[in-house]
Amino acid sequence: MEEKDVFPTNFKQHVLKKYERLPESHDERIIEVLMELIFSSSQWQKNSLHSFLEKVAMIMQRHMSFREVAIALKDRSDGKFRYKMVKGYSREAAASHMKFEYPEEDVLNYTKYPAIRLGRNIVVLGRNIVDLCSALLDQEEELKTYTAPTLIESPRTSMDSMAEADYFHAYLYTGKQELIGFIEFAKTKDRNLPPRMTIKWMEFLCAIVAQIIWEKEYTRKEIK
Amino acid sequence: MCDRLTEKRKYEIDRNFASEIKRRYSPAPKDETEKIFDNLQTFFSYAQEPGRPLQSILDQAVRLIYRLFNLKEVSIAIKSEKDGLYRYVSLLGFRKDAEEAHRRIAYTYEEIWDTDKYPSIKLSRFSEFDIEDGTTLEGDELLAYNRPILLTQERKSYDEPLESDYFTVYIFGYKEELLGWIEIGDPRSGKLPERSTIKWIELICSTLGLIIQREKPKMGK
Repeated sequence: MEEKDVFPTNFKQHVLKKYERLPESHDERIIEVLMELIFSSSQWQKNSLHSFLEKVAMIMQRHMSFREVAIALKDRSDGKFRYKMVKGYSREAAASHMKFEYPEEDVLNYTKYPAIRLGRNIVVLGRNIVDLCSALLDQEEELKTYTAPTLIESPRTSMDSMAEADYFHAYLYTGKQELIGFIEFAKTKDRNLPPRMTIKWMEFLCAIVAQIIWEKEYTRKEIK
Repeated sequence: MCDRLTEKRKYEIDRNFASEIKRRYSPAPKDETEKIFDNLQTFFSYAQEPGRPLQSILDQAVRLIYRLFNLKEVSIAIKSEKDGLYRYVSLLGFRKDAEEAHRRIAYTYEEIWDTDKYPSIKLSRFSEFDIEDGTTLEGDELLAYNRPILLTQERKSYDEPLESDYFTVYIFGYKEELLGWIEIGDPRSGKLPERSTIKWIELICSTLGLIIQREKPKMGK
């Protein structure tokens, strides 16, 4: 769109400077990438799901500082949750993720997977968070999903730090409150717990991702 | 695997950690940004619910922006699926006559991008700063102002908005279709809005794009 030159030059410069396009803060940067994500979904095609999930994982790695991100979606044909995108894990751990499938009862089973609720749709999990002797230790296959399974026993060094076994789950709920997936994320780059705003952004990201996947994929076909 | 003593000790440490986590991530907003964020999330949850009438979602968006960003005038215009024209459908902060005048206006797609008629400073892909030439306005476009008599006033300071100043943030849908826009004007502070206000409204418009797109099939009926 062309701009008509009716604005005094100095005033125009003042406005452009005040509202210049480059993000000035971390929050502004995230607003920008979320808008880009939404905007990119406007070009959705038959094979767009994979690249969309890749973008989501990339946002979390680059802008929220999580090294490991795994996204699982529900196959509506059998109701089981399977990982569709795994980023930042060792090759073995990534391959191990792809073998897993969970019924919904397991995804939300906080007895089997001890968790602390952080917000509307986010929990923090880990076998040493609430109960040392959780069932996870007996599940050899699940241990393989960790990049460094030998470090699982290592103690938390401080209240600020994340242990190898700590991870977060953010749930993807549709407007009808149907659980259609979850995002697993772990290991901040500085190895500390993420800032409050990161968790809030994650909640919002999940709401947007759920809405887009629901509209583009579930209302048309099953995720296969 | 773990003797009772070790288990007890670790269990206590973990409970402390759980308390620390709950304290650190307590849901109550701690500052202005978190307050905006919480309201935004509540709005999106509200809008996401299927079956919610689009008009009530748009009214809610207008109220949210009006309240959160201390603005005296907020309006939303959207494209009609029946005739393809853009009309104001939700407004807050206008005199009754000005609101009625807004509702009578209809723009074609070409008129919206007519920079000779509606000059603007482009701020981003989604937003622009607009100014009307008060001397050429007539009809409903003139009546749509709360204080049309002030339209010809001179700008005394760069930070002080005039009656004719407003910001437009566009709402796009699939394949970059222009679905509508949000207009904001007359900040309570008496100064041009903060840049963060425009960024947050851009985000609200992006999410509204998803919702309006969802409702489009029903809009033509």
